[in-house]
Amino acid sequence: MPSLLSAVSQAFSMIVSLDSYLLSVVGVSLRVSGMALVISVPLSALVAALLGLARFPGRNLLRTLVNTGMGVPSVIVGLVVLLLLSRSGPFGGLGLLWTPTAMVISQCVLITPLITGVMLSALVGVDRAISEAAHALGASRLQRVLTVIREARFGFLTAVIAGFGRAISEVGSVLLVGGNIVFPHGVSYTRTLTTAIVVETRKGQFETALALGIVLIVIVLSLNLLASRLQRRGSW
Amino acid sequence: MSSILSVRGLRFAYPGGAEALRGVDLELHPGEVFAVVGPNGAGKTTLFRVLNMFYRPSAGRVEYRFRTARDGSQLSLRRRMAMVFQDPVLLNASVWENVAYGLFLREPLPGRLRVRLHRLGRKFHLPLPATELEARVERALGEVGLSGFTSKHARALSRGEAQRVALARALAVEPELLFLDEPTANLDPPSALLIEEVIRRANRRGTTVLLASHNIGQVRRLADRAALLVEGRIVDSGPVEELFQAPASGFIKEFVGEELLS
Ligand SMILES: Nc1ncnc2c1ncn2[C@@H]1O[C@H](COP(=O)(O)OP(=O)(O)OP(=O)(O)O)[C@@H](O)[C@H]1O
Ligand SMILES: [Mg+2]
Repeated sequence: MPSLLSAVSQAFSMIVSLDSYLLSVVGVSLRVSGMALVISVPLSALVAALLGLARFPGRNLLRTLVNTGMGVPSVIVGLVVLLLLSRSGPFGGLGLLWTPTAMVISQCVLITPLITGVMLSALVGVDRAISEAAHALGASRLQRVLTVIREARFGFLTAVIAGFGRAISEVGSVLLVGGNIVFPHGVSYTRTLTTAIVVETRKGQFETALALGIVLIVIVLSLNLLASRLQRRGSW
Repeated sequence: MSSILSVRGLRFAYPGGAEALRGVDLELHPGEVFAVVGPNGAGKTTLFRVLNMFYRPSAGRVEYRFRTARDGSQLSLRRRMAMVFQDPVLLNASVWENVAYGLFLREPLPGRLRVRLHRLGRKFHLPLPATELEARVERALGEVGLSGFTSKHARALSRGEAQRVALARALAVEPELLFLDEPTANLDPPSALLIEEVIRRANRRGTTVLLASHNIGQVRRLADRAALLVEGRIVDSGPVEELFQAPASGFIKEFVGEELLS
């Protein structure tokens, strides 16, 4: 067993030496999860606003669907996306399997219900009186909706952070649809921090695996710190 | 005399509830303070909500005759009114943001951006002049005696301060018609008197006020006319000095108490 100390020191030396393997793995992780977030957040906000503020038939069914989707295991999502994108699948012609795009797609599917669900509970938590106060001060319908969303902005931020956290730390779906590919010259194509940890552990490279794990935790932790800092500043 | 608000046979029931308003008639004269008094659950808040178009009446008509409404659309009529609630409802933001809120709602995007830029610039010590919107916010805050509170967060206010911010927010939009739903409930006497003074000044500048209050002293100090609302019906109304003069109707006597009328 490697000591935690030597893992930390290796992580540190890999980071300060800007190890090209590490950098490319981190780069793929951030790009894929960042892109998934960019697509998911507006979509989730729209769905959450509709589910939270509009009234239409089938709303409760959709809410249940969102809540169920929040807990779907990532391997299942990966499997479904894999079947859809595989050569014999309906979207096989696009040739997306084992590309970063496929990983973005599966992470989107994975995190959209989560982000929507957290945003929805933030919206539902806004005092009804806020909406009435907006009306009473001359807000149009749209302005009323925007006011409520603005009141829920800290919850929205939490949703975005939670979504990114889930995306960057999930392993099942990116492994299945990304293929964990590294170019012959040792630069990642579809290998992320999580899938790299799996590979290094299998190879017995525990220090490298732990080092990658530390980087992953630092990324997730600093995002959460940033979020709570913003929340504490209060007025924005 | 022409009225600014004319209400005929107004009825309203909450979904699944009993009728809260059962045929209300009311004429508001421009520039007056009109008080609605009545026991808990009489329908005062409901009446205000319907007049302020938050609820659609189930029967009856309401006519608004504002001098300055841009057109007859619901939104432009609503934008000539403002309401202060029984419990102050402030946005999760600074006092300044709260008071500016109604003004921002009426401002097209370029104007909103301009104010934001001015404020940002001044943070970095650029000598930018105050915009008209900022001047109005300052004036409204000064009016309620909270000039130094602009950057304070709304959550950090005492209840009385929050109620004053809510009043400043309504005054900032310079409404023609102002609904005040028990604006001094739960305030200590000095705060209540301060708010009364602010209401009086706004009224002198031409704002018509519809006031709900349980405080007969306050109604006598502020209102020109009053109506007694009981179980969704107006059972008595008239000039304040006549209404609260003995011998009063049985309803008034019961509501106010004999000794207060002398
Ligand atoms: N949101 C609601 N849904 C259903 N019924 C309501 C609702 N709000 C008020 N009511 C009912 O409507 C009636 C009138 O209530 P309203 O709040 O207008 O009275 P009020 O005169 O303002 O009382 P108070 O002096 O306590 O503020 C009451 O019987 C009340 O229970
Ligand atoms: Mg009430």
